[in-house]
Amino acid sequence: MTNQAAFSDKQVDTMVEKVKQFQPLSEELNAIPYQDRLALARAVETKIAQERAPGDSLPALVVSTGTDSRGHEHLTNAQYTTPKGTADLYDLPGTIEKQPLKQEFKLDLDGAHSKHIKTGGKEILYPKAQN
Amino acid sequence: MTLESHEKPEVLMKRDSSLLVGLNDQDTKSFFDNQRKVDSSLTVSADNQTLVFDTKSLYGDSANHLALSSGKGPGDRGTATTPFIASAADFDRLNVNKSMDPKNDVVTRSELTQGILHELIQCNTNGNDRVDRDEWLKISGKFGYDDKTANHLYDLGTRLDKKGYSLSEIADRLITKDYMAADLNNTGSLDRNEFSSLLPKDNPQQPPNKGTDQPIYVPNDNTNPQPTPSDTRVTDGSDIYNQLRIDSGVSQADITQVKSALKNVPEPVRQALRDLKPEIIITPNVPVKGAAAYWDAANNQIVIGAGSGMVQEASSHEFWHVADTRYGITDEPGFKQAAALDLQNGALNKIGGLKSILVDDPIVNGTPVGDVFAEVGVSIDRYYGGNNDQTGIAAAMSRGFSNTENWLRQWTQAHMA
Repeated sequence: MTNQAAFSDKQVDTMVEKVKQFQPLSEELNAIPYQDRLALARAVETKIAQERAPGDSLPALVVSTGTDSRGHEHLTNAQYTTPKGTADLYDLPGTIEKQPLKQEFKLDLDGAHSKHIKTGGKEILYPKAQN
Repeated sequence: MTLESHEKPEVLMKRDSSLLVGLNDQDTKSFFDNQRKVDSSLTVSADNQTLVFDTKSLYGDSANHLALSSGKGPGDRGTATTPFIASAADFDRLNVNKSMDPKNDVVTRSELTQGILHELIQCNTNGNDRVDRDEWLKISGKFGYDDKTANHLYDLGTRLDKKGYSLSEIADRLITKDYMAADLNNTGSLDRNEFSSLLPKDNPQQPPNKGTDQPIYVPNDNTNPQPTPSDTRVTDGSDIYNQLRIDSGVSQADITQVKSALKNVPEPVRQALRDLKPEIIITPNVPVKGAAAYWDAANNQIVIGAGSGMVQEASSHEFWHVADTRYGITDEPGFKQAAALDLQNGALNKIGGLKSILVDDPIVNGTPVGDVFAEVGVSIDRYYGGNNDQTGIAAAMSRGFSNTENWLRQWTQAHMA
């Protein structure tokens, strides 16, 4: 489940500014578990939408999602749209996007990466106890 | 095919000796106290005349479905009129997991047990999901037992059943062990030469240490075939070899260990490797300092360090993590409940210094149990292809987390279809 307290208003504001400056969001977003990641991306999307008046030329952020093989929803893209065009500001961690797999299996990999955020997404077996 | 033994010899010895002295030593009690739920459904009738098994419990939810098929398992004999082992062709029938090189093929203890189990299930001709004493007596001759021996074995079987052993485990301890007496080089498997010593000379085939002058009873009916785990598609993992990337400087022995691990893990684990298609890299230079192996899901790579002395175990460990990635096993409430119960029962004290290797999520009651899952997985490989536990860590983890092991064994069995 999404933990609404997993990110701060300051984080949201920082991300909004990055969007407005065409900066990629992947590094920050992929450093947090996929559930929190999606919640943060949606908060940024909402904030930008709130700042946008009808006919406003401010960019819009459109968050896309997909589901893994167990039905869990993951962030798959964050597309930034201006009158001049669009840009993708988010990629799944590592090389997941490039894997020749069904989308649901790619998102299974994303889920596993999220379980091991503190070790850079790697599940590591040491040959002996690490003291 | 592996030359690993089906179970650690010391474990077998302990259980066998326990049987002789009345099943009352502490380890055996602990084993019985932690019987699997799936085995709890296997019961003995009040008069000790019937071992009751539930095919759904034995084979998971797929049992009913499989019962409708006529899949060829190691016990599918084509005819019910021959001894359990009657000809050299039975070697290939029982040898489910074929080696790439036929001359290296062996029949493992596990494969032998599966074949015997299939016979036991097929003997349930009245369809009551029970191995009745008279049904057993009708087929016991196939294994070379006279009536007296067969009755004695049945009595022992009911005692083991009451203590929580599964039908498969009972078959292993009471019947398979007789055939394994032909394992003269103590590899835990029978090669073709050893197997040939089991073939009947003139007459009825007899297990090596259960001689009988009685004629073999020939059942004349085989109307109620039941599924066995090997009715499912069980492979040796050779189709996954194309996912291997072998760096220079890796020994052939280490490559063989990775392949053995692939063969020994249960089929659902291999299927996860097929689904997710991770690159399996064997390298002398592991990028993560001090690691024996790691699973990098974001790059879909398993990296296995060569020369660690535990390549086979590390491989299995990571293969199980891939299975967790594919199926979300450690997210299941049952897994977390079992781990929580083990922690309440003092699992961390039981595993002693090994607790410092527990670093991976998920967290249960403040303890990361991801590595518990993977090592318990390594431990239960022995019930499928063979032993991958090179360090003893897996066995120790399973002893400390016995409920977790029981739960994972049930999960695995239920996903064999």
